[in-house]
Amino acid sequence: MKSDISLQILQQAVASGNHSAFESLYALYRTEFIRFGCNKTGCSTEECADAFQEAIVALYENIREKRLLELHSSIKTYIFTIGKFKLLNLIKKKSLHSNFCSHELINGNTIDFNSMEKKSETDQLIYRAAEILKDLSSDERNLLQRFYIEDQSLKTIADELGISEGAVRKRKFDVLKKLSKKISGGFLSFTGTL
Amino acid sequence: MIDEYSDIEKIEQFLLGKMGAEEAAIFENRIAEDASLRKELFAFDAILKALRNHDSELFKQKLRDREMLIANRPISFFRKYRFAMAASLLLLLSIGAAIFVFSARTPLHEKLVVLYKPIEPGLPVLMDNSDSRSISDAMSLFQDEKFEESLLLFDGLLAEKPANDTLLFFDALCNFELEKYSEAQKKLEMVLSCENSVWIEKSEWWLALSFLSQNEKAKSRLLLQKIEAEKGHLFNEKAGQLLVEDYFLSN
Repeated sequence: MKSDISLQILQQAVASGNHSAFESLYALYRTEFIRFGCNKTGCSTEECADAFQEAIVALYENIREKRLLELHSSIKTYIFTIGKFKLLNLIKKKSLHSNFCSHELINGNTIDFNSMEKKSETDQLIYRAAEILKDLSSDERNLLQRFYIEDQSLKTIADELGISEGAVRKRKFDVLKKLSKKISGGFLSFTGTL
Repeated sequence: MIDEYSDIEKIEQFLLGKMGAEEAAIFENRIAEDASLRKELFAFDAILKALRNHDSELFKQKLRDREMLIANRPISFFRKYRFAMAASLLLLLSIGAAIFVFSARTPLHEKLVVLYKPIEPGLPVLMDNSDSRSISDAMSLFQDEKFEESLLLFDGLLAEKPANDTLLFFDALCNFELEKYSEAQKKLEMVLSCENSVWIEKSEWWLALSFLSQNEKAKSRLLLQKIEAEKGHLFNEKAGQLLVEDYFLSN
């Protein structure tokens, strides 16, 4: 029950675009996780701090993307579990660096170069979109942020801006159309996957 | 314009997972056939991903700032030296406890002996030419507080000169320091029997302390009263002070 409440608070924090709840969570468990990570995995303090940061980011993204709707454990257990796996992956990566024989290239495993190329195209498209997003005015960026990231309804946004829902819909459409034109213009031959 | 609106909203619903399964299947077919719609979909998907990446980056930056704050936070004096302070406190407590235990367990008469025992510097000059070497070695060991070795040499010298008051006095003091009080008393009484000895007043004092060490209150009091009564005695004043200690005032 307690974990539900904590998750609710974090969900509300994401919905209101307020990161301070996550920052508090970060400050609350950071030292304990570093001690836990150092003792359990033998990783350095810096590595444990990085893993913990990544765990908090993962929690944030999972809540934002609605991948995490309910928890059967405490938030702390959830974060520590993610953090622990991040550290275990790091250890695995380190051992791969020191032991080339286990690398798939040396062992003769085939690599799907086609999918790598498509992935690269998708990444380029996202990179281009990110660059174009920088050209938007703060109002335009704010509108997209609230609708797509904070998952606010058009009505809520319209009420706050003091305009009609239809006007907000049109504004959003205009921004998207502008962006789409700029992005597609540079990627006519794009054949990538989503 | 209406079609464009409609398409954008359909793409939006499709990518945000807000489209029903049947409608999504129909829409997927449209995407496969319509290159321009597919292009719009890719662009829209890239925008969404870029928006999410941007938001994640902002969030990560906040955590990095927080991490910098935590990592660079000045450590307070008390936090930095908490282990050293704890160790010092523990040491002080141990010393205090040791003093307490010593005070609680050491009987009063023994405490008085420690308090009133004079420092005997020994002799700086050689007393006798024939035995000068042995006496000098014994005295040197006595001054170094090596009482066992010193006692061996004094005992050896006394075997040759059993009535030598100087040898008897320092032999007695070695015995006293080694807590062989009976032997010390015997030697001190022998010094007291030597007329005109320079060690008589000191021997009386050490004998009184020796009785005190063995909790022989009456004998000690008697000797101290004698010392106190003698004007000009080396330990006249000290004897007066010792006699008014609680130990002697109580029966």
